[in-house]
Amino acid sequence: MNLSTNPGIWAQAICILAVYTYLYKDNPIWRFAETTYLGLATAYWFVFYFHNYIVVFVKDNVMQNGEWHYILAIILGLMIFFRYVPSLAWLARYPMSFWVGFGTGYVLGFAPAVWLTQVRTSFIALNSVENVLIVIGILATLTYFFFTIAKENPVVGGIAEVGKWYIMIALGSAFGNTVLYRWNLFLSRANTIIVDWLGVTP
Amino acid sequence: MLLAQEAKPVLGVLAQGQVADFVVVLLLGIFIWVLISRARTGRKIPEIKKIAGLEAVDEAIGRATEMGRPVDFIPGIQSIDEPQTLAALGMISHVAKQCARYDTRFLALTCDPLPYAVIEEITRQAYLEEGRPDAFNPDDVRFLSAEQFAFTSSVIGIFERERPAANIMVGSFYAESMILAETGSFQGMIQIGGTANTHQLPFFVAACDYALIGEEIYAASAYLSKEPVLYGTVVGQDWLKMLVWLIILVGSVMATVAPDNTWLKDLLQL
Repeated sequence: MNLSTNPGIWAQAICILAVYTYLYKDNPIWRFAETTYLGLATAYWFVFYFHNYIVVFVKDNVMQNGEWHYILAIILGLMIFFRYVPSLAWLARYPMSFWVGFGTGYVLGFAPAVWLTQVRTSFIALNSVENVLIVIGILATLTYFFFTIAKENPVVGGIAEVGKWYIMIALGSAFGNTVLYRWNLFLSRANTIIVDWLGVTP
Repeated sequence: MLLAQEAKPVLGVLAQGQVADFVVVLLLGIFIWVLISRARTGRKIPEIKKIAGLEAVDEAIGRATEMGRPVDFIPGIQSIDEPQTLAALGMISHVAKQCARYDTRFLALTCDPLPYAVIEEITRQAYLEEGRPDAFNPDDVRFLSAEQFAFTSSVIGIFERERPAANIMVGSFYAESMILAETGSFQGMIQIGGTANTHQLPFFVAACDYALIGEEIYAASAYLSKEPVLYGTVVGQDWLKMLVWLIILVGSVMATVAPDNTWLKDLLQL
């Protein structure tokens, strides 16, 4: 055993152990880790956004390059703070509605291209068992998501039931895959504690 | 030598390859407009079938009311331009109204400042509509952190300290989904989880009492509000899904019996 002298490794190890204490129960060490992480993340992202957006837009884009239209975005962004002034709180709705409108327009503009490609690639020749199973899976799964056709109808209900099985098989497979990935993450943390911090070499 | 041919815009505005996309959006718009018009004039439109995960929302609120503990709602971790977040906002109004009606504490925990601001407005309005503006506590709508796992650890802390009896998670979730659902399950909460992120759905199915799978979250606000005009949007989407179902069937049959005939495929990539 050769205990690490690197303060960074010590910080990592202490944080990992502090978080793992939650496995026993809620306790002051876990709470310390939780609030420290929350505070650090808030400070980190504040500084990140300040230097990567606010400084860049105000100093570089507006003041140096004379791209004055960015001022509109800055004003729109600042308008959200009107929510703290009750008489002018309605003004805070404008940046929110702008962003919702942008999101909706963006999705309507770009999403069809993605799923029309999926539709086109679903035109599979029914010339093998594998292909037949794929097409049945696509149609049955789609039927499962018909909200207005009653599942009491035996034909629709039967197809939707097949769709449900397809969905569950797919989800089960994804679950197993991710469990393995999470196990991998745990091994990585264990490696930090045992090898990097305690210096135990296999 | 091959010379690149400049693609001419269709009708002067649409780029090559986007005509089919435009027609689909237009068709969806027409379907929804027709159905909303029918609903507004009081004519009959198809009903939405029973969705177990949404039926359970009132049950979860009822259980929290009986236990005298809060209901919490997590609208995913993405911003307000994400359709799943918008679907969650549609549900929040119903949940907040029910909580106001039964005098149950409602907690909304957010990971992004924009949904936070919108949810506060929606919740305030919900309490007002239920005639309980005094019962609304702005501190119960919280922005925790924009950092994914700082948010997650903070939610776990709130689960531990404030002990909600019902946990509703609907929206766009990523790696935090399992941690949150597992903690809620460990604490015996009644949990409803819904997302369209297929990679996270297995965790909600495994750890929540009820799971809303993909599309089901987009039907939530219409389903819960029982508002005919909102029903129109869901039925409109359903019509488009049925059309797509038919197109896939025809496309597959054509690929089998006439593989050289690609007019349908070409039509969809106009």
